[in-house]
Parts: sequence; C-alpha cells; structure tokens
Amino acid sequence: MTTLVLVLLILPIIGALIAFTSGLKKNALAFWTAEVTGTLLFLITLILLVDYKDPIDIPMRWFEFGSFSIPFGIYIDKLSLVMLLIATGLGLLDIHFAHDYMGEDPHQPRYYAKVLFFIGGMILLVSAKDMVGLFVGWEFMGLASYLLISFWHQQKDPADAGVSAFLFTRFGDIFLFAAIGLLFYLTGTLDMVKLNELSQAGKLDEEMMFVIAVFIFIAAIGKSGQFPLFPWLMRAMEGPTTVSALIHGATMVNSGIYIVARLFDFYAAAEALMVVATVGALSAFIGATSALVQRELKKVLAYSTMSHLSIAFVGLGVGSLAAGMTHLVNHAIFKALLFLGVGAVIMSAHHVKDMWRLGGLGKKLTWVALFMGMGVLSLSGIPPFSGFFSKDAVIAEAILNPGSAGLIATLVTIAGLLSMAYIGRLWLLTFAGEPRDKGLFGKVTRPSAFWIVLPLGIMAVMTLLMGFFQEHIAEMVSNGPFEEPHVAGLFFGLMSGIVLLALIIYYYYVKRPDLTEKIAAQPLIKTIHSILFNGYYIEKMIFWFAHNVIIESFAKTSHWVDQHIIDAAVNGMIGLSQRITHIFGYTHSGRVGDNSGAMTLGLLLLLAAMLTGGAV
Amino acid sequence: MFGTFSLLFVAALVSLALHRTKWLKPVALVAIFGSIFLTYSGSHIGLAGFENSEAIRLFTLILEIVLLAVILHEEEDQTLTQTLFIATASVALLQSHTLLTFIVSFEAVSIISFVLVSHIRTAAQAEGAVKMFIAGSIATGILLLGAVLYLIGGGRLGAPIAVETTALSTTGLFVMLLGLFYKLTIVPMHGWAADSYALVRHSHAAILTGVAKTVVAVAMFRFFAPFLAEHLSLSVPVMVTLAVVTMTLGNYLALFQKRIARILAYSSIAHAGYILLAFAALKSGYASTGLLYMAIAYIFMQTAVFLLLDILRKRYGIETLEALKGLAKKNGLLAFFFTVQLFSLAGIPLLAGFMGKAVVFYAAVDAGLWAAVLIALLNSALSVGYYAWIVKHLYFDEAQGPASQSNDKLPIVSQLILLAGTLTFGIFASLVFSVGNAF
Repeated sequence: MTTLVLVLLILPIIGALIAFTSGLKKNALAFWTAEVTGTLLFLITLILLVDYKDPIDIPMRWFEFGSFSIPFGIYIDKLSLVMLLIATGLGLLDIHFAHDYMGEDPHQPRYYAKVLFFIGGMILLVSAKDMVGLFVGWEFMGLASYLLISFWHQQKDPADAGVSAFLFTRFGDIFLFAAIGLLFYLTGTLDMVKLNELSQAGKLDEEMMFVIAVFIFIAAIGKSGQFPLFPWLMRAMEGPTTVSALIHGATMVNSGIYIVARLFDFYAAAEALMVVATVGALSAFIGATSALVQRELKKVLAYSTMSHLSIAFVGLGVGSLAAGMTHLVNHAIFKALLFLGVGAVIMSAHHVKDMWRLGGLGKKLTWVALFMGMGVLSLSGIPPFSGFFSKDAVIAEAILNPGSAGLIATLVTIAGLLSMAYIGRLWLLTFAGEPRDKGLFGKVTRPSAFWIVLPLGIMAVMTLLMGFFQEHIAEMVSNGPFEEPHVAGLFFGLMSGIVLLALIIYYYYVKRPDLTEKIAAQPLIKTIHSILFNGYYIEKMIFWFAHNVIIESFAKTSHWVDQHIIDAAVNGMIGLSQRITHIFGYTHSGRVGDNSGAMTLGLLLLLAAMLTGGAV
Repeated sequence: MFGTFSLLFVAALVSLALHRTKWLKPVALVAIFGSIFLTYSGSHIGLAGFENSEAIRLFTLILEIVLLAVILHEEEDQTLTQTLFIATASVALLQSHTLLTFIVSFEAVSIISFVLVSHIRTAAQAEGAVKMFIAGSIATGILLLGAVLYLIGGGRLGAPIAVETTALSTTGLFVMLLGLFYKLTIVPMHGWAADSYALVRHSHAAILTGVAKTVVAVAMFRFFAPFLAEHLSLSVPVMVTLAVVTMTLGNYLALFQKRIARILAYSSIAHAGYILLAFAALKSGYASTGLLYMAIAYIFMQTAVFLLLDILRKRYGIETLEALKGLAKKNGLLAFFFTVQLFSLAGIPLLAGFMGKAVVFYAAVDAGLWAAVLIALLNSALSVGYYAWIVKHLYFDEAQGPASQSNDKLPIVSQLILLAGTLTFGIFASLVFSVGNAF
C-alpha cells in the first residue's frame, strides 16, 4: 500500500519529465505519455479505494536535524480519496479531451508536462498529513496554474492573466505561510489530524486559533476565487479551455474548500466557521448575479464556478461538512462537463466565445448539446441530477442554523436559484433558437466522437448517476453518518422558483430576443448591467487601492529609503571593498617566490603560536 | 577481495593501453559504474590500515557519481586515465586509517594531480602547472617535517593519530595539518591556487578544485577530528583564525576579477574557509554532518562550474566576463546550468550549497563561535556580489557573436547529473543527516 501511494506521488512528476522530453521529438508522444500516466494514476486511485480499510498513514520527515525536524507525512482517508478520484479521474478525461482540443498546438510537450505537474501538485496537496506537504502541493499547483493560464504567452492577454493569477493567489499564500509559521510556533505540530484533535480537546488558545483560521481562510479565498480575490479567476479564462476545465473549474479551485474541510474541527473550535459562511454567501451572490450578464461562454462558467464554490463554502460555514463537501464533489463533475462542453463548442465554432454570435448549434452538435444539457440541469439543481441534492442540502442547513438563517440563507438561496437563469441562458443562446451568425454557423464542424464526445458523455452519466448515491458520498466525505436536513416547503419553493426562471429566460432569450435588447437599453438597467458585467468593479477597486495606496505612498517611500539610505550605504561599501581588495592584492604578486615565502612564514607563525600558546 | 579500489586501479592501468582507441571511454564508464555499484553494496579495500564507515561510503558514492560526470564530459585520453587514477587514490585516502596509509594516499592524490596538469599545451598552462608543483613540493616538505616531529614525539606510523600526545607530537600534528592545508588552499598555503586553477585547463581545474580538494577535506576531517577535539584550546583559535582569514581574503579577491575562472578560483579559496569552520566547530555534535554536507554540496557545484567553463571555452572561446555577455540568448541551457550552480555556490535556499553552509554555520553557532559565524555570514553576503554579477552578464546584457543553440550530448548529460546532485541535496537533507555522525 505504502509503495502504491509513493508511486502515486512520484509518477506525475516522472510522467511530466518524460512527456516533455519525448515530446520534443514528436508531439504525439507527449500526448500518449500523458494519457498513459493519467490512466495509471486513476487506476492506482481506484485500487486504493477498493482496498480501503483504515486511513493510510505514512509518517515521513523532510529532515530531522538536532531537535529541529520538519514533518512530511502522508495521510489518505476517505476525504482524501474522494479528492484523489476527482483529481485523477477528471485529469484523465481532460487529457483525453486535449488530444483534439490541443491537437493543432505546436507546444504540446510543454502543455502535457505542465498538466501532469499540476496533477502531481494536487495529489500531494490532498494526501499530505502535515501542512508542509500541503503547502508544497499548494504552491506546485499555483505555479502550474500560472504557467498554464499564460500557456500562449506570446500573446499579451494570456500573459497578463497569468501574472494576475499569480499575484492574487500569492497574496493569499502569504497568509497561509504565516499561519503555518504561527501554528508551528504555538503548537509545535503541523499535523492536521492532530490539530483537529487538539482543538477539539480545547488545548489550544482560542483567540490565536481564530487568527490562524482566518489566515488560512484568506489563502483559501485566493485559491478558490472568492470575494474579494476573485478577479484572477475571470481572467484565467484566457488559458486553454481544457486548463480552465481542470484547474479553474474542477480541481485546483477546490483546494481552498478542501483545506477548510480538512481542518473542519479546528475551524469549528476556533469559531471561525461564521466567517467562512459570510464570505461564502457574499461571493455566491456576486458570482451568480455577475454570471447573468456575461457575453463570453467561459466567463459565465467562471462566475458560476465562483458562485458554486461559495455555496460549498457556505455548506461548511453553517456547520455541515457533508453538505459542503458533497456539493464540491458534484460541482467538480458537472463543472468539468460544462467547461469541456463549452470547449467542444468553441473548437467547433472556430474559437468564437461570444454567445451572441452563436445560436442554433443544437442542430449540428446534438450530442454536445444533450450532454451539456444534463450538466445544465445538474447545476441548476433539478432532481434527480446530483447538483440538486447537495445544493438543496446546503440551503436547508443554512436555514436550519440559527446563526445563518437570515442574510446568509437568503443570499445563498438567491445564488442557488439564479444558477438556473445564467446557465439556462448560456445553453439557450448557444444551442437553441436560430443561428445569429449565419456565416459562422455554416463553418461549424462536428467534433470527434471518441476524443471529444466520449469524455462529455462519461461525465454527463456520472452527474446523473451520482444523484442516486448522494448519501454514500456524503458519508464518505464527512467520515460519518449523514442525515439529510429537511425544511418544510423548501423543495417546493425552490422548484417553482427554478421553473419560473426557466420560463422567463426561455421567453426573453428565445421567443422575444428583441424585448431583451429594449430592456437592456434602459438607463437604470444599463448601469446595473455594467456593474454586474464588470464583477462589481472589484478588480478596479483593488487596482485603485494597489496603485494609489500601495505603490504611490508605501512603495515610493520604500524606494526612497532604498535609494538614499540602503543603496547609498552599499555604494559606499564599493570604494571600501576596492581598497581592501587592493591591500589583499599586494599579497598576491603571483610570483612563485612570494607564494613559497608565505608558506614558510606560515610555518614559522604556527610554530611561534604553539610556543606562546603553551603547547610545547 | 575484489572491491571498488581494485576495480578502479585495474581499470586505470588497463586504460593506459587503450589510448587512441575508441574503447577508452566505454571502459572508463563501465569501471566507474561498477565502482558505484560496489560502493553501494558496501565494499571495503580489504587491506590493513584502511577502514570504511557509513559517512565515507556515502561520500565515496557521491565522488564516483561526480567522476562519472567528469568522464562523460572529458574527451582527452590522458585526462580520462588520470581521472581513474585519482579516483583510485581518493578511495584509498578516504578509507585510510593509519598515518602511513594516509600520507601515502595523500601523496598519491597530490602526485596524480601533478601528472594531470603536466599535460601542457600553452605557456599559461605551464605556468599554472609549475606553480602548483613548487607549492606542492614545499607542502610535502612541511607535511613530512610534521610527520617526523610527530613520530619522534612518540607517535606510531601504523596506527591512527594518537589522542593523547606529547608537546612535540602535538606540534608535529599541527605542522602536518599546515602541510595538508596546501590542498585545501587555506591561507597561507593558498598562493598557488588562484593562478593554477585559472591557468590550467578548466576540466583539470574541475578535478583539482572540485574533486581533490573535497576528498582531502573529508579525509583530513576523518583522520584528525578525534585529535583536534581533544585539544580544543589550541585547535579552535588556530582553525577559526585561518578560516576567517581564508574566506575573507578569497571573497575580496574574487570581487573585482575580470576572468571568470579567476573569480571561481578565488571563490574556491573562500569556500575552503567555510569548510575549515567545520574543523573549528568540533565541540558541536553537528560538525561532522556540517563538513560532510559542505563537501557533498561543494563537489557538485564546483565541478559543475569548471566543467561548464570548459564547454564555454571550447564552444565560444569565452574566458572573460565581457565575453560571457548575453549567453542566455545564445545558449539558454548552458546559462541555466551555470545559474543554478552559481546560486548554489552563493547559498540560495533549496540548493545544496545553502544546506551545506547552513549546517556548518549551525554547528559553529552550537560550538559557541558566534563571531566567526557572523563574519562568515557577511562573507556569504559579499560573495553574492560576484556570483550575481556573473548571472547579470549571462542574462541582462546583449549577446555578442553568433547564436548557436546546439550542444554536444555527453557534456549536457554530465551537467544534468551534477544539477540533479545540487537539487537533490538541496531538498532531501535526510540523506546526509542520517549518516552525518557515522564518520
């Protein structure tokens, strides 16, 4: 078992190296290396799942030196296994999908190497026992995400998007690093299982725990694209769609939620869950409303990702590990499905991402439309698709918890209902109605059944089937029995809301698109539209703050100090160093006689020292 | 008893007959692979006066891996043969346990070094070789003087260094150390080094500064540590003074050089100072780990930079900083190798050089040598000045001359091996910590 786990950890890195080097000769080799590695990783995860009895616990140390030691343990319980299944399973499908999607790209070795490296980071993150391993995996993924967003780095926008992602997530990472330092200093352990136990036993200082929990949560906000650190996630859509699907839809963005779930007892004891729920509810609302008005296919999905991750956060925040994590699992599947479906559309439509130029594609891309439709139903929360159960559970838990029954529950319910509106709008504008751009419609090609449609079909079936195994999933992720929360009338209320919304968008976007344009021309609507379209101008605010407060005042002051005090001191040292070098230089004529003289002198000095030192 | 030593020795002798045939390099490679395997399975010389230990086994293994890189890189028959000979002598020196075997093996390493550089083609190489030979002769004189004093003072030739000594034998041992410092390039025995390292062929310099120096450092530590630890009142002041002077002098002289080889030659002297700090920190239990770590880190990075210089000279005729400008645009791979190894020399974290320095400094602090460590830290900061200066020339200046990205395969493989070493020992510190005290 131990060997298998180690193989699981190392294989992606080896695969990445092989994919890169072999791919330099022939692009296809890179793909096949990635496909084989992905399959192996998934198989290993399946074996681990089938053979699972107790949590696999491998105590390892990075190094131990004197009284100082840095642990690097591996711990795989059911929660980790679920995350591993998502990472390797979706990773495999994504690689498979990329065969056609990235088929034209000349830089495939680089692409597959980075993707495998990313999967390696994710595997490390979810199987780490100590926060050191978690942090390393966290940073690996951050690096891979940056590299993949700016995969087409020759163009300006992807390169900028990569930098933006790097800076936003980095801002959060600093807090994670600080939290690790604080934990190590205060508790002496970085073992996450033990931290949960210690906090439950009440052995930790509550105020410090709260600070640490909030610090970790800030990192989670950055990684999972929550308010206010979400603008990078929208820009990240500049990367290849396969990357958006895997990293910015299904796996990496989950890691923020995973870290809170892994330290769930710690958060509960630190009484920091309400912070999680509040930020989550706010993000859910912002994401859902902004998704309503986007023009680009991928931007809709990005805002929807933000909104649904927030719903999972709210699930955790209101105290239900099972509801939050189940929603995360369901979301990963249907969001990967939707992203890859959108990828298929984009590929067939020659890289047109603007929904208003598409339309009527259902006639040509029937299977894609069908499978994406299943994803749409799951995301909107229609039974028996999996999305329904977990979303329902989160909302019910939010209502049942007295601390969140008011504003948080309202915001989350709105966000949940609006899912139907924005995703229905996306589907209708793309597949239904009449083609708006006839020239483009004529050129749309049919995607390959094996490379493109098959992975979509697998995920579509998954999202349907998982609807029947929700209790099992909930019990797995929470390591305990699961009781479905019941709120009277909730099901009926949600369903009627969803149906009503579905009818409204059908009317406005398919039957009477002219009406939509008229309404959009109203001044008030226009203002609201532009606020929502720009994500509440959060990015502008952050940039304004960064520019005026940080750069103009703080950075300029530091620059002055650096120029006039630190640099001046260093520059002053140059003259001194030159003089010292000059003096030393006198002893180095390079003449053999001088060298030999120095040696002899040294011998004499040593003897003199021995004599005066009293040795002789 | 067919061990590492005999395998290498036989291979070295056989290789003499293979000059000017295509078999020399394959035979050398097979021999070195065989010796890696034998060392890994724990071979022992099997003669009286030699003894192995866990730490020595690890270091021998690493030495052989580095020599594998050297053999992969090198094309000249003479050098390949001498590399095998120096490997043989090094294995013997590392395992020697009595005064007699120690002196004989040390002299073997010394003399093979002379033979190595005696393959002279230019006047500059002649100057380097002669300077080294003369300094080496005087050092041997001092070494033997010390040995004689030690023996007269009651020491025994066929035994390890006695811990309990008389005044005369103590003096003798310190004089011996002074003689040995020649190979370590400790002030005042360092005068030849900067010239010789910079003037002889770069691949030879790689063996001299990278391999021979570290082997001598480890063997010396193993042989003399028990004695020095017993005479702390005398050894600590001597070692600390020499260490501090050596590192300061090396770093300052490296600062304003124009030829890259000279910068690296002086930086090599500075590193000898850091290595010597481990000899001063014997009071601490971490001194041996520190020395072993420093030696392992140093053998990878120093060999790598000089082999890189060799590639640069052959391929582009680069000798000076001026000519190095814009190499990153001409040949990104070589610039990358160079940068990583320079950063390791400068002591940037997650590279072997950082861990080596960190452990030595930790041991020194543990032994109470605060002031020395402070000076060493300042020295480290100073050294970043010239390492970063080289990197600046690599990346931030405009390229001169034609671009040519293609590389020969074997030297690149050799660099990859050395890079892997620098990275591995920068991250997986337990490899060294687990055997650090088993000297």
